[in-house]
Amino acid sequence: MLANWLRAGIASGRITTKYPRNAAELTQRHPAWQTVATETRACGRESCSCIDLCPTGAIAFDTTHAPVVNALACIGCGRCVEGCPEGIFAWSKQIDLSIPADNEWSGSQRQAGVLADGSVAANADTIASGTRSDRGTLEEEACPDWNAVDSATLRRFRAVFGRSLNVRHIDVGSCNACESEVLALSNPYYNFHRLGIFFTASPRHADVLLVTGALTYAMRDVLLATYEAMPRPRLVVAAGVCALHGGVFQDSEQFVGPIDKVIPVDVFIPGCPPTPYALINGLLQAAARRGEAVAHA
Amino acid sequence: MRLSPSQTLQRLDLDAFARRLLSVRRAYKRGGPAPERQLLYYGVMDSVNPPALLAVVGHPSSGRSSWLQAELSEQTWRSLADTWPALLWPEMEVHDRTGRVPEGHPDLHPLLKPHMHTLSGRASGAGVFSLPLGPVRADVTESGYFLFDTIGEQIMHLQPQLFYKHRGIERMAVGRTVEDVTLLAERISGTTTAGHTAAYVTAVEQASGYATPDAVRWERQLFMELERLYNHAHDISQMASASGMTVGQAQVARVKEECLRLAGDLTGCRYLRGAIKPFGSAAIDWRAVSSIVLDRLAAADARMQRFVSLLQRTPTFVDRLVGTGIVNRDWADDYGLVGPTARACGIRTDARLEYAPWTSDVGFTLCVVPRANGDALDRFEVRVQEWSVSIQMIRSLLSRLASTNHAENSDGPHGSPGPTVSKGWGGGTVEGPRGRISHVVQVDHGRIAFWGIRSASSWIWPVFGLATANGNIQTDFPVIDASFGLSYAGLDR
Repeated sequence: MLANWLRAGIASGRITTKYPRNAAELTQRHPAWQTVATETRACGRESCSCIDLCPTGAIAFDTTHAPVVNALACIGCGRCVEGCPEGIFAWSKQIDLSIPADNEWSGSQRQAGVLADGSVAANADTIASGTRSDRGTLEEEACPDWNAVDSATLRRFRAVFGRSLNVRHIDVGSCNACESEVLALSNPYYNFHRLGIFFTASPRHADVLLVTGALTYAMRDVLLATYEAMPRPRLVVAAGVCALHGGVFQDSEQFVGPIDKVIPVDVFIPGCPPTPYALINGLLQAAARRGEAVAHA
Repeated sequence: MRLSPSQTLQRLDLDAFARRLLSVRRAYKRGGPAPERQLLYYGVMDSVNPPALLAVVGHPSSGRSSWLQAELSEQTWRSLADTWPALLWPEMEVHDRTGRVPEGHPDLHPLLKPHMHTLSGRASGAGVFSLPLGPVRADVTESGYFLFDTIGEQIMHLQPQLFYKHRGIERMAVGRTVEDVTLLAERISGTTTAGHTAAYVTAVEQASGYATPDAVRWERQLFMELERLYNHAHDISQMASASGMTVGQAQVARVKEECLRLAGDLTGCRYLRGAIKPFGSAAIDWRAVSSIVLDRLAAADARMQRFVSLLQRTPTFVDRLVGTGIVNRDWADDYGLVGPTARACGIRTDARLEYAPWTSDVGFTLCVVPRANGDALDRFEVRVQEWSVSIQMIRSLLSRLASTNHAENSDGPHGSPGPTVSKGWGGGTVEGPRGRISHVVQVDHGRIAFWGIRSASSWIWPVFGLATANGNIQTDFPVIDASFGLSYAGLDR
């Protein structure tokens, strides 16, 4: 029987992606990309119905009369893509939208630490100002070459961690699509073990805490206890719109607030849910930043 | 599930309400083939004063339903949970949401606020250990807490404490537009996006007096079958993982990924979000894509069949599953079990057969294992059979969709008469990957006035603890967990 398994396993061939060394394999539409909307140009208005179209309040107008999509709050419903009379919104064709926590808006929140009671508010305004400078424009049909960005990240990651990064995942109130995508990292297509990344059973063995879901009051103390149990230095990656912003659950009476209101976050991975490619990208970016993580150990 | 104008909500007093429910309870005959009446929904309307209990009873033979409502005008009402265990958790939920007390409830404690309640072990004596597990536990899982009472390796009792992820989705929906609530429906349980959205949209369309075009119904069913494929692949992969079959796990996980990619290529979202919309038209021109879909499904199916047959011929795998986590037939009847878990106990129930009989025209056949031991192996076998049925259904649905003119169907709300009623009640019942999903909505001028959700997992979870403590040892838990394949998010809402 063992021989049968061995034969069948080998016969099914190698399908593992070469990402991040090579570009991600993209299929017909955009499932490998982050399915978030992005603005393509200014429309010259000060305000428009697209603000109301967006169910999570991810769209705001900046001073140059251009609508700005906050990637951290976009659930990819496509209402702005379909509904804008000027047609200026388009699907993002990036997969490395992960946002390191050192842009200006998150800096101030980093020291916020544990949430003071009653101070919870959806931070759409602060977020909107910080995500304008996402890399790349979205007009190219072809997927840009990611090698330059990622080989540097990869080198730093290797230098710091060798080949061992242990990730503890915690679900603080998700719909379970994020869990499904996190679990997909270990399937043969993505096989993140090849990069030296592993899931660990205990937060005490973890380098990275990967947080998914809209933080509920029932999970807040559990999240804090898990974070407390981690050895220092430690990294936190928040994945999915619910964890970054609240998304469709931001008005829930059970919702505490974005993760970075409760614990410091190093990298944000947008998407609803984020794709496995985006998760790999975000984890590598987090790992490459470990030196800085010592600062808030 | 149809609610014709003449068959409106029956407002009863609490005694009559209880009598009607107990007559439904008797329909869950012990050991019978399938109940003649089913409890589709039980919950509370807490936005009205006084709050009111709401129950929807389904009649599988006709696909019809009766709607019962009773006001909770007093601070207490008589609990039925002691005679009908299926109401144990729903009654606690009513208690948490309204403060009204179900008198005589055998196990009343806070359900929706697990952080406000500490479980304690039920067993005592020499050598008894209480072993807590969760809410954060090994591997990548959703959050839930389990308290085991054990003697040595033997599990004597298991209490699950869930609802850590209770997001209050039903309450959030009140006052929002039908379209905005669709986005919430897509996010009740991510891996059942199509199932919950289809149930919700069906309920809304019924409440609005909208006649859903055939092509739209076929397309929704196709998405639900695609969802069943990746969920069953996931569960089979997890069962292989729990029994140490790493090659089987990896290869079936590969099949799951291929189904997800197919869903992503078709709809733009791997989890089929945005594919099902109320009063919508067929989203895709199937003539253009059907041959590609068929090719990719054939490849996934071939791989699945190859590795499933290997699993079935591997003694270490079969031995690990056989006799593990047995669901006694009595429990299945008492708790109104649904889905593959019920069919593995020999119960002939499937919402496609009962509430969407047209699906038999597109290749639906009921999968019930003949042995019906109700163990992990039977749950595995039911899923294996259902995988093939779903493939067959998708082929058949594709040929129908590809032969209809997409242009005619894509006019959407403009081409077909839109909602004709501004206020009303509606219900939607579909068969999700884990079993029957029922949604109940009250629509008032395009906005949601009430929303009730019963996911498949909400009927199965109470049985999970019983099956785990049914003569199993600690190391059986991962196998049982994988073989049930339940959704936490779908229960917690």
